[in-house]
Formats: sequence, C-alpha cells, structure tokens
Amino acid sequence: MPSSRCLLRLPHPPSSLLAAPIAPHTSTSLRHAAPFSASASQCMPAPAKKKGVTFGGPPARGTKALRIKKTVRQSTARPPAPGERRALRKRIVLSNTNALEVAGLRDATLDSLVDEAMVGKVVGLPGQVVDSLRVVEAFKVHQGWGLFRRPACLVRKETVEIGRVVAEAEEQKTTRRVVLCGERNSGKSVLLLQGLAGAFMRGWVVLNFPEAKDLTIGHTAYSPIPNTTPTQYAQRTYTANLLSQISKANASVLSALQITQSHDLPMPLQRNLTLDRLCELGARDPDIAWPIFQALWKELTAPGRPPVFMALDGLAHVMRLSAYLAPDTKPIHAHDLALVNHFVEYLSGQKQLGNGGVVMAAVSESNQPRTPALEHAPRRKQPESFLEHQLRQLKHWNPYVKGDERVIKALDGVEVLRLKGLSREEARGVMEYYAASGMLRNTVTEGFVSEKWSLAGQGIVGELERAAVRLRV
Amino acid sequence: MATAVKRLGFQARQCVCRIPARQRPQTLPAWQRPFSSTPARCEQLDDFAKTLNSEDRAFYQSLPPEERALMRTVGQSLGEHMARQDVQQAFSDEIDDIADEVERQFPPNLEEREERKSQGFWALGEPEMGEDEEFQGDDISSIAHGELEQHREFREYARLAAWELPLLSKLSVPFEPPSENQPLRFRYTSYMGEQHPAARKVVVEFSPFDMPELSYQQRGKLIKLCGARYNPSSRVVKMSCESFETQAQNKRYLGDLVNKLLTEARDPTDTFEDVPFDFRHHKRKPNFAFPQAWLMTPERQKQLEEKRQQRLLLDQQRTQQGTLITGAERIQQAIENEALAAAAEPVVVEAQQQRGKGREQQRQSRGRR
Repeated sequence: MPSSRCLLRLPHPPSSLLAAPIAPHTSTSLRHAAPFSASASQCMPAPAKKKGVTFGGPPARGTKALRIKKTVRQSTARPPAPGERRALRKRIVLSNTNALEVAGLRDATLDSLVDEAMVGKVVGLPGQVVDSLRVVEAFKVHQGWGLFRRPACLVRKETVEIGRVVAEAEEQKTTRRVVLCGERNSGKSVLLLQGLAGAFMRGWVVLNFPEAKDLTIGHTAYSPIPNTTPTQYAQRTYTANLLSQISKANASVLSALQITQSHDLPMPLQRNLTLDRLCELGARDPDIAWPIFQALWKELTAPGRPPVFMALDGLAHVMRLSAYLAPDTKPIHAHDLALVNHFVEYLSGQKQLGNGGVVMAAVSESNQPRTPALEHAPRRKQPESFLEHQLRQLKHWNPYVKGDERVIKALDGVEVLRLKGLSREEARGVMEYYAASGMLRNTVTEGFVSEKWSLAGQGIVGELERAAVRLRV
Repeated sequence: MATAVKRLGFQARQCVCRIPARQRPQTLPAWQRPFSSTPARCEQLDDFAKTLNSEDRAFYQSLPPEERALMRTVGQSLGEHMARQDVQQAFSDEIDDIADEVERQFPPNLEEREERKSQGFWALGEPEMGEDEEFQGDDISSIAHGELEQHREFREYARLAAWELPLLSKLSVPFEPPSENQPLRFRYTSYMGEQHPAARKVVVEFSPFDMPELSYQQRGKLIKLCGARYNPSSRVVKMSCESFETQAQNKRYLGDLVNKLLTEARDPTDTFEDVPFDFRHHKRKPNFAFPQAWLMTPERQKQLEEKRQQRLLLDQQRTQQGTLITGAERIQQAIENEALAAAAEPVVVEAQQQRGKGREQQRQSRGRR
C-alpha cells in the first residue's frame, strides 16, 4: 500500500504524534531502520533488550566475556648468546676423527706443487701452513675439510700451472695477475687456497681477502680519507682485522724484517720495530689501521723484501657499486674503497710489485652479483689490451650494454684460468683418497670412477665429492 | 463473416467476366523479383490479348490465327453483352440476394474478432509498422535470393574456369632469375580489383652485399644508415612506402630513396666508422645442429670398445698387484689393527693364588651335578 493512500485512509493523527517520531529515531537508531513511511507505526513496540547479551562488537564496559588465551609454549632451552650462532655458522672443522688416517699420505712440498708427475695425487697440507691458512680464512665452511682426518688436497693440472706462475714470479720478480673462473663447485676457491699454501711455503708475505662481499655490502665502518681525489674511503675495523691476520699468518717472515723507511704516522715508531709488531700496532687501534697498512705496504714494496701474494675471493662483489653511500647520497663505487682500490690497482697492472708477486682473484659462481663487464672478461680467450679490445668490440663486447669502464680497465689483460672438471685420472686419485679415508666403501674400479665422473658433470670436483662421499646410499 | 461472403461475391463476378466488363482502374501489380536475369523474350501482344488474364492469354496465344480471330469476336461480343446496363443490374441483384441469404443463415458474430497480438515487452511504445506492403506471399526470402545469387556466381566462374582459363597458358612466360644488375626486389599487393587502402603499398628488399661498387667501409655505412630495416641474419634491407596515392608514385619514391642511400654511403666525408653497428632490433634464432663428432660411427664404436677393454685390463692388473682400494676393507683393517694394538698392550691383572683341589671344591662340583 503506498504511503499516500495509507495516509488518506487513516484518520489524521494529531500533529504532535507526527512530529514525535523524529526524536526517538535519532536515539534508538539501531532498532529502527530508515522508515519507508512517515506514519506512526501501528505495531507493538519491540521487546526490551536483555541486559548483557550482545550480538557482535566488544562487550560493554563492566561485563564479562569469554576469553580464550593462546597457548604460548615456554622454551626451557637457553637462548643462544650473542655471536654464538654466527660462530657456529662460521665454524671451520678441519678434522674428522672417525675418518681413517691415510697411510702413505705425503705432505705437500715446494716441488710437489710444481711437479707434473704429482698430478692426480693427493697431498696433505703441512701443519704450519694449515695454521696460517686458517688465520687468513682460506678454508671455507662449505668445503669438505671436515670429512677427512687432516687437511689434504688433490694436485690437479691447474695446481701445477698456478705453482709455476708463483715460481716464475719469484724468479723473474714480476707481477702476475690471474683470475680464476669456472663452473660452480669446480674448485676455484680451493685452487686459490693451494696458491696461498704455495706462497706460505715459499716464505712470501700473504695478504688475503677471504670474502670480497664483506668489503662492499656495508657491514663495516667507513670514513673518507682526507686529501684524496676522487675521495677514497677507509674501512678501519676491517683494516685492523686484516692487519692482525697478516701479522699472525706471516709471523715467521715478518718477525725477521725491520722497518727501514720513514713513515708519516700519527705516533712515533721504534727504530728497530719488526713488521709483525707494526701490524699488531695497527690491529690494536682501528683509528690508525689504515696509515699503518700504508706504512706496511711501503716497507713490503721496498727493495730486498720477499714477494707478495695477494688473493681475493668473490671478485664480482668488488666490480660494482658498493652498498656504501657518499655524502651526496650516491653509492660509492667499490673501487673507491681504499682496500679494494689497493687490490684493484695491482690486479689491473696499474702498479707493479717491485719484489715480484702474484695477484689472484677467484670468481664465485654461487654468490655472484651481475656485472656485465666481468661476465665479458673471462669469456675472452686471449688476454688483450683495452685498445685492441675496443677495436674488436663488435665481435665481443656489445657497445649498447651499459658497462662499467673502471671494471673493464681493471680486468684488462689479466690471465684468465678457466677451471673445468677433473680428468679421469685426477678423479681416480681423489676417489682412492676417499676410499683410503674410509669415507667411500666401494672398490675404486675404473667403472666406478667413470660412473661418478659422469654423474659429477664430467668431473666437477665438488659434485664428485657429493656423489662419492656425501650422498652415500 | 459477411464481409468474407461479400468478397466471395466479388470473386465470383470476377470469374464470370473473364473479359473485363467494366473499365475499372487497373491496380499496378507489385514488382516481382525475376527468377532469371535473362530478359523475357515475348511475342507481340495485340489489344485483345492485353485485356485477358495470364491463363487466358497463354491459351489465346497457343491458338492458330483463325481460331484466335474467332475467339476475339466472341470475346468482344461477350464483353459488349456483359457491359450492358441491365445485365449488370441483374448480376448485382442476384449477388445481393445471395449475400442477404447467407447473412440470414450466419448472422455476423460481433464478439468474435481477431485478437490483437500482444506486442510484448520489448515493442512497448514503438510505433506499429503494420503489414509488409510489398510482400504478397508470392516470393522466396531474401536469404534464399542471396543463395541463388551466389549459385549463379559459382556457375559463372565455373564457366570461366572451363572455357577461358586454359587460354591463359598462351600468355605464360618462363621464369628468369634476376640478374646481377637487378638487386632490388619489389613487392606489390593486389586485392583482385577491390578497393583497399593497402593496395598502393610497395615494398622493396635488397641486400647491401649485392649493391654494385661499394667498398667494405661503404657497405658498413649503408648498413648503419638503414638502421633497424637491416636484418643481419638474412643480410637484407626491407623498406616500404604507402604515403603516396598510387603504386607507381610509391615505387618511384623507394627507388629514389635507395639511390640517395647509395650516394650517402659512397660519400667519404663521414664514414661512420666511430659508430658501432646496432643490431639490437634483431634477435638471432639459435640454430642447434647435431655435432658431427658425436655421430656414432662404426670406427667410433670400435674406439670406445677398445677403451673399455683397456679399462677392464687396468682393473685386472690392479687386482693382481693388490693396488685396488676398497673402502670397506680399509675400515675392516683399521678396526682389526685397533684391536691388535689394544691386545698388544699389557694389561695389569690382579694376581690370584692358585688353590689345590680340596674337599670343599669337590663337594661343590658334586652338588652342581
């Protein structure tokens, strides 16, 4: 019934009634929806609400409501102390007491790392070298050192090549620049370690950046070095730690060397100060770590000093913009970080090591940011100058890909050593070592070696270890 | 009902006077679609035939001339007779009588009217169109006409294919591949006489490597000038033009353009050597060919078999020499060595005095039994 008709049929209510509903509507708006009709309602009033019963919404103040508590399990275990988990994550295990001692395992000597007859044999690392390598963090967590009784490694074809590079650099007092690249798990970091071991055995001074990532991801303090153009940035805590590593790892060499040069340092130096003590001074006080590092370098490059081996793992991280910001909030190029710059100057051949030495960098395939210039450099087979490269860019370098010129220059003319899988003979040697250690139960026959060699992508050494030792069924 | 009967009466009157009695205004017959497109070829009609209806006319025309004359005189006299006033009057009286009789028998039912069809919801408020004035129930639908039209077209083309296509072979010219001095290849588009906006488009393709009198450097410049129109895989430049109204104009433009490009490429003032080639517009299709070295040939099979034999031999030699290493054996050895080492070490044992066999012991042994 339309409302107009309704109003017509009903007797007119008093005007007071018509006006009245406006007030209650506003007060009890919950009970009444907006009326379709303006006439007074003819029905019974709604029953009064029961107190304390609500249909939705929180209970009114002062009323009780059912509350279900969530069960929170209280852990009784002691929470890990600060740094404990990191220590566990970074723990290097170099020995497995359950593994058998391999009879007839010889220690590596200077000759064994250069001798081609040793290819395919496993040699142990001498105790002193192991200590030094451990100090410079050359052992990595993911490598299989913890599977065997003592640290030992396979002498492969590339090991001999690197050994020769080191020997030649010592003989001819030249600087050799090498970049190791290859597939994931193909043994780049271990080859770098072998190079370091060779340098330690030869009595070189060794400087190792175990993870290039730590330098550039912005996890250590940095500050601009005054009077440098373009502005360079020193990482004092990192430098202090590096100095401490240098002094501990090369103690036997550095303790025999005394300072001969004059240095501009914020504090006076003892006249007959040995170089390891100098490093310790810098390690103790991060504020002077960078000047001390420079002083140390001046001493090491002075004539008559031993050759230097500089190594860096994870090259791609220093071939791009770092995570640090300059005062103008622009990212700092990794080459503007003082330590990285120091390494890159020698890698690019801009500076030479006066007493001879090797600058070696390894590319990491498992943790590699994209850098087009770096992708390009290992692809080049022949080392060539930047100009030559520019001339032949059509064939190699895509000029329309945005490349970092500093990086291209830094990698200009480096020797690229591309690691591939092991040969069958090398694979056999390492698998015999696994069996002799009791970590591989099978008989190492030719067929078995072939099978695992094929499974490991034609002898990728990390995969070979996984197939033979880790994935034992 | 009465109206129907009246209509019946008129029909009767029409039937009776085959020869039109009265000069009624002739209604124009509705235009009918011809079934055939061929024009009708008919005989010359005389005046009498024109007054007849179609059936009678056909009959009249089929007669020999003397019978026609007879029919004409009879028909004319009949017409005159029927046109007389009294005859007409008699007819109309008769018809009215019959009509009244019928009306008396079947009185008109006023209520029984034809119900108006409901228009339906969607036609509400629309003006009524009424009946189709043109269509008189004597024609097929327009779709059917379309089908017929199409069929006629099929037949026309079938005739062409049967009679005229074989004659085209007389015009055929043997194919001659373009010579070296014809490096341009033009493409035109025909829409078989239909109007089409793309009909005027002309496409030209040429390879910079076929262009005459170009040095290595000039060819490079030409490729750089052509930009994204150059396909480095097929080494072909492809350009098109449809900006002018006619095909000829577009082709002229393209020809001029190619000439201009060639003069520019030969111009030694700027050789473009500092500009690298830009082939970013082109993605090369990878071609995966099976390496010939991987093919399994009898020689390769033999070689592999020899290698396997050598490996087996090596294993045999090692077994004989005892240099084959088995991990499990090594572990066993190590365990045994450990046990031996443990056994070799002297163990301190508490000394015990030996006692002679006394009575007590003997008794115990007996008790055990």
